[in-house]
Amino acid sequence: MKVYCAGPLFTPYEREYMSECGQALREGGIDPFVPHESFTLDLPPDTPRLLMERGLMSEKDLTQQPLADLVRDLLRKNVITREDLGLPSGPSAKRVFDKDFGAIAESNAMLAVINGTEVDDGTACEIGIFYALMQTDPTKKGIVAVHDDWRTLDSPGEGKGLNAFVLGCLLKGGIVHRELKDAVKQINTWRAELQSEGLLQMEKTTL
Amino acid sequence: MKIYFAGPLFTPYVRQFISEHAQILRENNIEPFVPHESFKPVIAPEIIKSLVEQGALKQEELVGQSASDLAIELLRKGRLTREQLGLPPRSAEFIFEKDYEGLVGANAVVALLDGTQVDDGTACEIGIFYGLLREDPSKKGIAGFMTDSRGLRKADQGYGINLFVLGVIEECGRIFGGFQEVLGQLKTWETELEAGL
Repeated sequence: MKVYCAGPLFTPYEREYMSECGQALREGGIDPFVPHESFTLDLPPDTPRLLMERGLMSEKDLTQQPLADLVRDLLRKNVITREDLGLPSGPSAKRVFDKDFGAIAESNAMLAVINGTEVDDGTACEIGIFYALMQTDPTKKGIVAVHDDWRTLDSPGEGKGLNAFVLGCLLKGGIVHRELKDAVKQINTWRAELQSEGLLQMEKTTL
Repeated sequence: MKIYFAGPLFTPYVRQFISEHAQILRENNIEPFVPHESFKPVIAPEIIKSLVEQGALKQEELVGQSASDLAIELLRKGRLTREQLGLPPRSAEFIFEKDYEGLVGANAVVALLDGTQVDDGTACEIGIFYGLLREDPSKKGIAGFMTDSRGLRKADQGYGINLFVLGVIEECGRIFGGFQEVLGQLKTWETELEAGL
């Protein structure tokens, strides 16, 4: 079963949390798509030399972390550009869209982290797309949201609440949970449904 | 042609801005669905009368506007409750279903993208419309509309919006900094629709 993990990915700790969500699913034998982890790079062979010449990396760094992770980090910090590395620049919105939409279209469920002062716009957009695709695709079971943000919780909480349209979409297309473990449980329920409906492709049973 | 007008309609001035631009569309024979305008419950006259008697509404406030419009305005301001107005509670599902119908019936979306991020409701609507458009040739596309100076400064860099949302809009439309351009895009789509393209 494939699950698309949607959520804000803009800070190191947000990415860490999304990776944690992905890991929780993987441990249950589910195949998660975590957008920032899927950010693959087709690096030219002389990349390590180029980075070392610029003093951005040492031999030792390479033994501690995969090269792609190091490069991703440098790109995010804007220390180097894609052009510096000889990577195709292209319109990056198109790159992000193609990759993420492709994964949404293939997924059987979505796990959406909706924390924040409002739902992250990228996440909200992905929720909408998944909901629309669900209407005609019986292999898409639903959206489970993880929501534990004081600013948008009704009780206890002090904020203005969640956007009613987004919340309505989540409730029509799935469910909202406070805890990640409950979200994982829900996904497992959907997985059992898919299996009994014969809608799940043969999948790896071991990690 | 029908369009869905999406945007952050939480303050009186944004609602006014959207309503004014929806009116321009109407003058151009384009039929807009405006979520906040579609919310038009009729308040029974006896309820208004009793609210005036209780002092919850002042007689002078009723001058120059319909009692229902006033009641809705006070409901938004939190001065009156739905219960006081004899209205059933409004759930998130109800709001979603009503607006979703508007999206299903639309040939295009105009999305006001202003704000520090694209409003989450608007972003969700963009996503839904794109998902529907892929299987429905009568859906032509999404015209983003940006008036936010922080976005306009970055017009050449995708107006500074979330890359995924930008990617979705660019798959089936564009972002414009002026409403005349939005209107031009809608007219193009209308011509295509009429030609059966």
